[in-house]
Amino acid sequence: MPPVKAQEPAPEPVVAPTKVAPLPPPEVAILVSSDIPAYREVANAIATRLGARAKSWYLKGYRELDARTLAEIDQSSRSQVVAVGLDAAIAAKGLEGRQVIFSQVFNYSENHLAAANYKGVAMLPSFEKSFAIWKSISPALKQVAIITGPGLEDYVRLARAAAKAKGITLLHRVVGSDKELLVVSKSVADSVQGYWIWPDNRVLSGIVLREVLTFGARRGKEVAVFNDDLLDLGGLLSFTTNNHDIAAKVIERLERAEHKTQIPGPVIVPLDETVVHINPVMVKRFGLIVPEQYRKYLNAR
Amino acid sequence: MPDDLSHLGKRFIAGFLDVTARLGHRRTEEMGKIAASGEKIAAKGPRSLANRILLLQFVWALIVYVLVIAAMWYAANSVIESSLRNQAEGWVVKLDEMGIPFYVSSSPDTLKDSINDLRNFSEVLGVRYLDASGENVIVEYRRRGVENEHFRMIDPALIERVSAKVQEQGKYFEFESGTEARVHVVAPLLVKSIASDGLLNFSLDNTVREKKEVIGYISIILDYSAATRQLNRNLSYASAIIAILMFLAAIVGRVMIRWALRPLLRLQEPLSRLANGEIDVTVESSGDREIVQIGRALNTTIGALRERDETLRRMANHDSLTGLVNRKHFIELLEEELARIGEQKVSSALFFFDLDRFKHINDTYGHAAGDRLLVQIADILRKRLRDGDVIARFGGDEFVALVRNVNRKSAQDIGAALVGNMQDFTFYEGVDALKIHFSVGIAMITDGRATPHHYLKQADMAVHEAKSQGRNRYFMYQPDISSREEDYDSGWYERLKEAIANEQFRFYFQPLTGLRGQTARIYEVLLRLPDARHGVLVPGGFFPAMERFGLMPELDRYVVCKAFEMLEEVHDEEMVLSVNCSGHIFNDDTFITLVEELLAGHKVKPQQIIFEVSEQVAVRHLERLRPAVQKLSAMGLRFAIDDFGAGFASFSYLKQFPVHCLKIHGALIERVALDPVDKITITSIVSMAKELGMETVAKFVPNDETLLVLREIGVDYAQGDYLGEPEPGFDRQPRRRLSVVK
Repeated sequence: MPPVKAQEPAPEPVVAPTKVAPLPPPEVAILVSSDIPAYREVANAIATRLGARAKSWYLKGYRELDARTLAEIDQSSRSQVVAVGLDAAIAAKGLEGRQVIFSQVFNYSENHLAAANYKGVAMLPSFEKSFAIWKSISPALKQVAIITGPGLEDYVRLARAAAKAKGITLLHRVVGSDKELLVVSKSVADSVQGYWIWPDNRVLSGIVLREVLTFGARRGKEVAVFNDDLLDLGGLLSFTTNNHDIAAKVIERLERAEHKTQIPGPVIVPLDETVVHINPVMVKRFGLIVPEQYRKYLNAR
Repeated sequence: MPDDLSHLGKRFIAGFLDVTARLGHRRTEEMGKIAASGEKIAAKGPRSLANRILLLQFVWALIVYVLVIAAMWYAANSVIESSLRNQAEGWVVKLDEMGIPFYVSSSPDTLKDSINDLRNFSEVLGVRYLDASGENVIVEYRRRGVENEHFRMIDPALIERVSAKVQEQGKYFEFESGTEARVHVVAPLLVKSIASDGLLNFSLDNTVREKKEVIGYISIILDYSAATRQLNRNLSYASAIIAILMFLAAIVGRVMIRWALRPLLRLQEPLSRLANGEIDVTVESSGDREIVQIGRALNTTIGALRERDETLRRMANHDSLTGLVNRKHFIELLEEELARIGEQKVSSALFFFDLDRFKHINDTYGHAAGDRLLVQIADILRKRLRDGDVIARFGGDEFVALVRNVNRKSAQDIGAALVGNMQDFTFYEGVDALKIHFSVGIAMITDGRATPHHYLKQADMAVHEAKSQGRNRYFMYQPDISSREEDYDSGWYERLKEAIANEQFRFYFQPLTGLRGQTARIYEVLLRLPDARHGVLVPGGFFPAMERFGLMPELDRYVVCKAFEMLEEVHDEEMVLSVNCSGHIFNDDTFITLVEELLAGHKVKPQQIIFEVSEQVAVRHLERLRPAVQKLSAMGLRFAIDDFGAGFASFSYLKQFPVHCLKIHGALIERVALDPVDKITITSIVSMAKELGMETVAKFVPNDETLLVLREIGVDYAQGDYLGEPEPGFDRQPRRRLSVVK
């Protein structure tokens, strides 16, 4: 079943005509970390929008093959590179003189991916829309805790602002391990009404995910998760991204960077959309009422 | 259970049959030995089947008890160890969670108080959190008395092992039993992280690849002594309860086994009586099927035993020919009678009967006729005497009767009546009607203190006296013949033994006259025994006694030795001595050796000796005599059948016997001149003898007419008082020479 968009994507921005003859848009190399759905679908969405000026390469996980792929890109005249996934983003750092837009990368800061010609698109869905939906479902929601590893301040700042706009206080704790996450999640339980678990692989393990969700369900905490599967473990909401939203944001950044020496804008740009799924079991358990416009997301998996 | 009982029943029957077999032997001379062995077994105390089953039950219960207790202890220890492992694992999990703050906090000491909550858990003796190197303690808790060295060392080998196990298994801890009921647990503190950035490929269905990192170690000391003590206490209670229950079960089982075996146990008493030789036993044959079968089998066997016992007793105590009591049993009964007389002060009488012409009947009509006569005599005595009286046959023609509760007068009347009965009695044998008489000796039994032999001797003396007085009469023992008692008492046995030892016998020789001019001088050796009272006794006067006392073999050896001595003294190879032998001598294996020694030691040729054996002995003991006769004959000695033709026996035995001479019975010779039948008979005998290469001798030749007939028939030799009476010496001529006949 195709993901359900909370809102249609925004129309593409119109570039104002200049007096000089416009330079043709640069050709784009799309470098994909591996051929998995999460990367491939995003890459395809981008390639579709770019049309003939884009060409995709997939890393194989073998050093020689990947080096050959990178050399091919390097020898090409493609000045813009879209890196899909962390491995592609890291590999693209070896391409000199190119503008690199990365996507589907969560922990970009720890990998030192941020640079003037090296920026990306958020991997998390729209915080505004996510909190809006959550708040509309759970109007009493006041405090939400987000526990992550270090280096995600950009995301946290955006999230905190979005939460505040909806009257929600965001409590952010930085932890170093999965067990610490578990300990902290329990320690802040009295201060929050819900958790939003971000896909920070560094501080998450299978058992901790289960324990946090179990703990949340037992303690009456609303938990928003990053994967639909986690709803079965006690999550109330799942917030995921829309590939077209990602593709649009990537192309927007490419276009803005065309023929410029640097990529304009922040290191990471947030997405506009969120794909939501609501767990009716937990809704019932918490005694929540899903507004009419979101009921279609109940049992929508 | 029925199969078991059936098996037990079979064993009982098998055992019983064994007992019956032993009892069969009891009827023989083994009776005493078996009885003695039975007493030994009884004294030793044979094992009881019931006791053995009860012992098995007890041993089985003991084994079950030990196994149950051992299994219980083993299971309990396994459970407690498993439980300890689980508890240890639980503590690892709990302490793992509890310890995380110590590793993430910049000042773990401030959190130290939280670990002291462990004091609420008595089984936790100490907990120590160490860093990833295992060397530095981050924080620890330990009870009083727990020292540093009590914690397990985290050495590089352990770290390496733990790292490998963690990567392999995901989680791991080491459990080690220590002393004093302590358990040491070492577990790594792990943190995990999912490998893929952003968790884009996360799925609950997939195994998410995780990275594991050891950030420290927990070392725990757990004390389970309380649990062990509790367990031991509970196990002790359980063991005691089980022991009590098994004891009760054993008691109940004992009762039940005894109840189940009760029918078998009831067999014990009759069976032990049976084993002790009693056969007046009846075994219960009701109840369980197996018991009924055993009971029936035993009762049937006991019945058969009784019958056999009765038969054996009858055979042992009675004369097979007449059915009368035998000597041994009669003496037993006489002993009982003496005891009774001693107690009751009554008197009984002992009768001794001696047939007057029995030997003649035997010799004339054969032993079969003699046996028939004995049976008829026994019937006469049985009919005349009362049921309570005891009649016995002592052997030969000797009968004895114990007549109870009679005085002297009654005893004399009975004696007179018996003699009268015999006078009225006629014995019919073939066409002959024979008058048979007997002499009766009576001894009154008045003193219970005397021995049976004492009264038997008196009765014997009395019958002797009756015979001395002319036979066919009774004689009551009188004290006035006691003066002769000494003579008698030294008695036949002593007298005859003495006569042999002191060579008191006198040798008489009766010549055989050759009817064909033979030159050989042949004499039959005859014995005489000087007797103070009767003068000189002929063989008929002492042979029966010698037979009775078993002295005949000794007498035979004596006579043969004397014959060799006398022949050696004569130095005449033409001299031949014919020696009468009883037949017993041929049973003596040493007799052959004796003859060999005599031949070797004397200058006597074998042909100078002729052994005379009566036809009755030859016929009756043919098989017994044949080997010895054949050996002696092979040595050159000769044999003669005496009184040939007396018993009307078949002549076929002559073919099996190396006989050289037939001495024709005198009864045939006496009337040969007058009776054509006797003449034909003798002619046949002579003809047969010639055919078989034997010589013939006619005994009891009465006159010249007979001599002429005998010569005409072809008889080789004649013998008789008419031709020459027995005389002490043989160096003389026959009274009548053959020339007279001529």
